[in-house]
Amino acid sequence: MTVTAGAIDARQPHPITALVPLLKGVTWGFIGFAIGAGLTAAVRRAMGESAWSLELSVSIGYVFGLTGWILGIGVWDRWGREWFGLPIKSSEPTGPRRFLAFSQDHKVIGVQYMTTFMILFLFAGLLAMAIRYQLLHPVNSAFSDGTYNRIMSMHGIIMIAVAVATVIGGFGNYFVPIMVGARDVAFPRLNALSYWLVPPVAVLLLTAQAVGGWDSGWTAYPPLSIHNASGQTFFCLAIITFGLSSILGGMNFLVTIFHLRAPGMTFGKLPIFVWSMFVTSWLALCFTQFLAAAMLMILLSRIAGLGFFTAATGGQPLLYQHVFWFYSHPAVYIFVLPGLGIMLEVLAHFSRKPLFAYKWAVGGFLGILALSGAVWGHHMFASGMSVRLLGPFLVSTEIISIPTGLIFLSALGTIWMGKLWLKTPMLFALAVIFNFLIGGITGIFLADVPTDFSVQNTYFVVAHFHYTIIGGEIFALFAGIYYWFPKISGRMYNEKIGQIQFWMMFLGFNATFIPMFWAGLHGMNRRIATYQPDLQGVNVFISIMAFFLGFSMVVFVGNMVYSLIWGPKAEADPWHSRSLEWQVSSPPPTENFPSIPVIRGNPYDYGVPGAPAYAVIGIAGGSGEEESAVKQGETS
Amino acid sequence: MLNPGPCAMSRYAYGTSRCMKRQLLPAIALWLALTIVGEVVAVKVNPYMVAKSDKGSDINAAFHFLTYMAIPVFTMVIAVLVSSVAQGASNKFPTEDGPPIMGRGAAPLIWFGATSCLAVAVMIYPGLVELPRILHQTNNPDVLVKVEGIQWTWLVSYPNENIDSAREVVLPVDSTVKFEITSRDVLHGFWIPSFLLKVDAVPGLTTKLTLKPTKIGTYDADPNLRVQCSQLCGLSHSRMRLPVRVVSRADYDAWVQQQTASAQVTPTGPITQVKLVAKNLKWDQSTVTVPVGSSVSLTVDNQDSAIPHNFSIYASQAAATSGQKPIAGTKPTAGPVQEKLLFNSPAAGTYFFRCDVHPTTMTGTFVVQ
Repeated sequence: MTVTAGAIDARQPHPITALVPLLKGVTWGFIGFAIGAGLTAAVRRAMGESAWSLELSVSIGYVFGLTGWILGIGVWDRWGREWFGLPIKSSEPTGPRRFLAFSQDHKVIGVQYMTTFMILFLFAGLLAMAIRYQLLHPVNSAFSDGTYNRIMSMHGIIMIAVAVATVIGGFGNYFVPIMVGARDVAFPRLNALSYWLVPPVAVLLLTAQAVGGWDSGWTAYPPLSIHNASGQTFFCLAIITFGLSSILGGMNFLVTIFHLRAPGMTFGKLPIFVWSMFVTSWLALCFTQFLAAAMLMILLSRIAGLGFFTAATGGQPLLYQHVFWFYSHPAVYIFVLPGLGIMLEVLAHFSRKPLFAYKWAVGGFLGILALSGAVWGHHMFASGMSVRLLGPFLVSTEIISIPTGLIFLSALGTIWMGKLWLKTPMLFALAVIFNFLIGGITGIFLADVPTDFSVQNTYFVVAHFHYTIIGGEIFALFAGIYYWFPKISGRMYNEKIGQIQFWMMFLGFNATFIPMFWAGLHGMNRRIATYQPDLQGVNVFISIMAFFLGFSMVVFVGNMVYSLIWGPKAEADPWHSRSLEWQVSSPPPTENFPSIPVIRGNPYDYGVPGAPAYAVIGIAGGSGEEESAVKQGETS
Repeated sequence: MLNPGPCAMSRYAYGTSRCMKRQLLPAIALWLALTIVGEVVAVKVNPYMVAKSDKGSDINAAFHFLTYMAIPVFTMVIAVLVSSVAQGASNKFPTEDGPPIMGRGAAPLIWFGATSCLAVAVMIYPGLVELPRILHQTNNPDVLVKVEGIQWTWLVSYPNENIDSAREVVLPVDSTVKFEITSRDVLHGFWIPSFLLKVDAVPGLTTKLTLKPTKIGTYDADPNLRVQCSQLCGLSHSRMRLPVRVVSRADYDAWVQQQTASAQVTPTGPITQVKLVAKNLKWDQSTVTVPVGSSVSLTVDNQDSAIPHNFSIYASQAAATSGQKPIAGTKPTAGPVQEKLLFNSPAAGTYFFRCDVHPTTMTGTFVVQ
């Protein structure tokens, strides 16, 4: 398949034409929806029913509409035409318009993911501010109970989506190919499709609010999720779509890592971030189907009256929880492992030391992969499931703490006696160690069934998972954002503001979530719009700290926007790092490398006497074996 | 590559170098100091709720044990973080690389062994050792309480005491209580915070909790002596509460007597007839006024088929929302049905009434003047 660069036209196309791909997608999407809803109406009329039944018509219409959207946005041009013997239209747009188009360049897709999900992150953060505003008073009329439940549910699912896709879609896409020495991922068209499956998810979640939203949290347990408002159906359709995007992405990365590594790049020389992406891709590829199954069962229970979860029809509400958590526990490793990979990368490069116990760290990641599918029951200890399941899940959950600890071993050993360069990325990476430690230790109280019986479904759990997800993944995400900002944008962010933002975020985050442990231990359960009056003091404190944390995001956005527009131009390797992405320009050339690199050394061999340069990148058109004027690992 | 620093040497001769000792000994000292301080604080400052059940006390012991075990782990990581930053951190780009410690020697093995031992230890106690004790159910409790969760209140009955509907859960101290819990509609969570125990209420299943309350107490003094729904169940999930009261055996028996005899309330004043209709999830009146000193003969006419309603009168809306016991109330019953209640009107003032099942949408003011 050839990619022809867009022809340079002396007369530039009007900027409004940048919207053409989106308009095509939306138009075909509407047409598809109309076809689907029309077919449904025809069948229903033939059966003597009314033509339109909201949830059924939207579900069938959505399937056709989603097909139309992806055909219009690029699947027809890049695949469909080929199937019908027509030449495919595969010109890659250039300039800013490429971010609104079906671009097959992994770097463009990475930026598309990062921008979309950072906007979603900030939006869900605003919802969190609304939650904390409500909880300033034990009984607050700021939001009605029903509205609050919907806000809380929306906050949950958007943040889950952000946790799944931001690091993988943003940094995974941008840097895995470069870090393995490839020109792109194995399936660039599929990569673009993975991204363009995301806008319908956002559209569904937002339009769900017009039909009553849903109030079952992000976990959507039945029977509540079978009998609540129609927005629940939209939710199910959205999650199935999002899962498809995730599965395709996982497959893409696995094939890329297996088959597109540059010569000399053995698995033993793979950067630890790529290892973390490798493990995460297995999880995304193999487990997401169960989430889709759970959603499909809810959907069919709602629109077709199937009785998976009702005792009267031979079903069981607990069936849903088993299927749901069978995915959703590995999902938390999908959230956190790439983040831990970024943390280890930054720690090594900013300590000027080899990554400590590299093979053990890899073993830790692989051990988590092996065990992640065996621990799901710990979300269900108080669910009323058979008591014979409690012991085995307690054991497996305690065991999974051992490979997790190996990652800490690597982190601590790396910074030990290191020459720490305390720039903003390093501050965030160090914070991940601290935060994830608290998250992990509090997890022991939840893994242990007796103590879990007291704190399950309380704010203790809320604090625990915010510590692991924000403290682990989001702090690592920010480390990555600051670390890779110069590489992606070609400009440098403001370091002073970055450090201020770090401290605001770190202090705000810890001050917000530590008191939540206490609240959970003292009788505050979760997902509540009103609470006991004696807990007002701690809740007011948490809310104020949360507003401060939210304000740190304003500082962050300000720094990013300012630096993108007016920041000083960044050099190729401002961090003096050995890793491959720093051996090319900032931003990298379209084809990533002038010629495919040949890997000679290890990415983390700082201070190792006699260590060869990590890679040799020849000049374009050269034999690849000649060392170019820019030797890797050397700094000016 | 930067110049190798003075601590760089053959990666295999690392452990005995002076550079290592210069950082290692202060780090160990810091770890020990932090651990001692941490454990002392953990003993003196108790962040955990007072347990008011027997199993709750075992669970509390587990909390404390895990805390003592967690502190050295936490302080070790802090010590490494602090000493690494203190020894080698700077805002400026380092002039030399760090020592090439690869971690291929004994350190990972020791770490792996130690963490495995810790995980297994915690798995055994309090995990597997406590588990059978906490899960033990009895077939012969002193008090059997049947609980049915409905959106959005709890229907509590004591089958052995012939109490059909209780709007507060009264339990005798030091007696074995068994709760048999189910749900009529969606998942609910049966949680009594002060007892440190919970289990979900699942439609189609009966889940069980057996425990012994160990301390006398009331909801007014301890807000964690309450039944709180802990599994998201829709609109009024956060308001799905009932107060719990633990009393002496004698007081419990007296309460049982009073409950079963409460059909015979002695009117202390002239009878005022009040009729309230519940239809389409609404009351037909939002204000009810009765003369001071009268006895109220209330008829609750539930016209909503298959939907339970009840009438409860509280001191105030805040009292109702926070889960206090009502002054008087009827049992939530599905319509169409007419329930009668006779109660003596409270002192002059303004009170709050509601349907406990629909606590935000069926509310009103009860005026005594």
